Amino acid sequence: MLSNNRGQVFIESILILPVCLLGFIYIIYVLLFFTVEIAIDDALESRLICEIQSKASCQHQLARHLQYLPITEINLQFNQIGSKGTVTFDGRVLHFFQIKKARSLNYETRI
Amino acid sequence: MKLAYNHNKGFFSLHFVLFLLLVTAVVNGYALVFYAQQQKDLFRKTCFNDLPRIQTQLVRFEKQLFSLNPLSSILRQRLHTLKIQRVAAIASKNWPLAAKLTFDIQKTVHSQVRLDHVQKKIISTATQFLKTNMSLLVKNLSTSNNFQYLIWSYFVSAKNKYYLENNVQLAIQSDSIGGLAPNYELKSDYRRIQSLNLNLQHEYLNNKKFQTLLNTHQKHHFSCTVSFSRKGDEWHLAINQDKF
Repeated sequence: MLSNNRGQVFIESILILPVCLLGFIYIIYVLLFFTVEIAIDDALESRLICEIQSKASCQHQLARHLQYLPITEINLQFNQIGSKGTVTFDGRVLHFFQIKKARSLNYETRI
Repeated sequence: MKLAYNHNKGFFSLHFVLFLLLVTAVVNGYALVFYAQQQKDLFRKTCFNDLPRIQTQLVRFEKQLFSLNPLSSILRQRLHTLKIQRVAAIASKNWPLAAKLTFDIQKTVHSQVRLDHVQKKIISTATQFLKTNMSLLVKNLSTSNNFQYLIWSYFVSAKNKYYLENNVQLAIQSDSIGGLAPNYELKSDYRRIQSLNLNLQHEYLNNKKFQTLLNTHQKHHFSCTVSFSRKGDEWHLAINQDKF
């Protein structure tokens, strides 16, 4: 195809560019996923801590935290047995990654 | 186009510089996130572990003090009865009985003195515990904060102010009768008097040398109050944490 090396880099760049672009986008997606995962962890922990404080708006607080994140198909459950609270989260981040998390906290406020 | 692609010298170097800028921006961003998360975790740990531990121990001291109330009441009642009996014995000129009752009164007063000593010892131990642990907490907060800042100082510039209220006291008082070895009870606004308050003003931005690449400035105010509530024999911790 090429009689000499002229334009070799240009042609190779055009061939590799889509792959590099996809790889670059995937890396950005993964980084965003980590960030969203940290935010979800924090929101779940805040939910459990809210229950310890016996506040009324805990459910709304969690929903408010999650509404700013790129998550769809959210399924949240909260269970309390005695002093142990468990919150389970299931959702799709960035329309691509599926996350399932469960956090428990056992906190006795009786002295 | 023709000039640019005459040769491929410097192709990698040019693209690597752009890649390096991107990586620096990402690393800076994550450094800020992790630093903020660490500060928040430190505050949460203090609010839900350290302050409740101190408050729980203070309540235990108070319970110990209140458990001596029945004995205090018994001694008070006994002294009162003996005094009445002695007056009656003196009035009826029953000197042996009056002497015995005087001796019993002295024994009762001596018991009251010992009980009073025990009560005051509990109060002073509790007060000392509170002062010592609050000072230690302030010192540990400062050390942890400095240590965390040291880890991220290459990327982050921060100003943190921890305020821990220093004038907390035991919310107890002697009852209206007072005197030697009295009954002790909680003050009416015990929730406010014995509440442990911690405030954090947290302000951070990325380091000056990276500000041309990524410029961010965040300010948060965290507040935590740990008190207790009592309903009959049930004592519960009351924790309130807020972010502004």
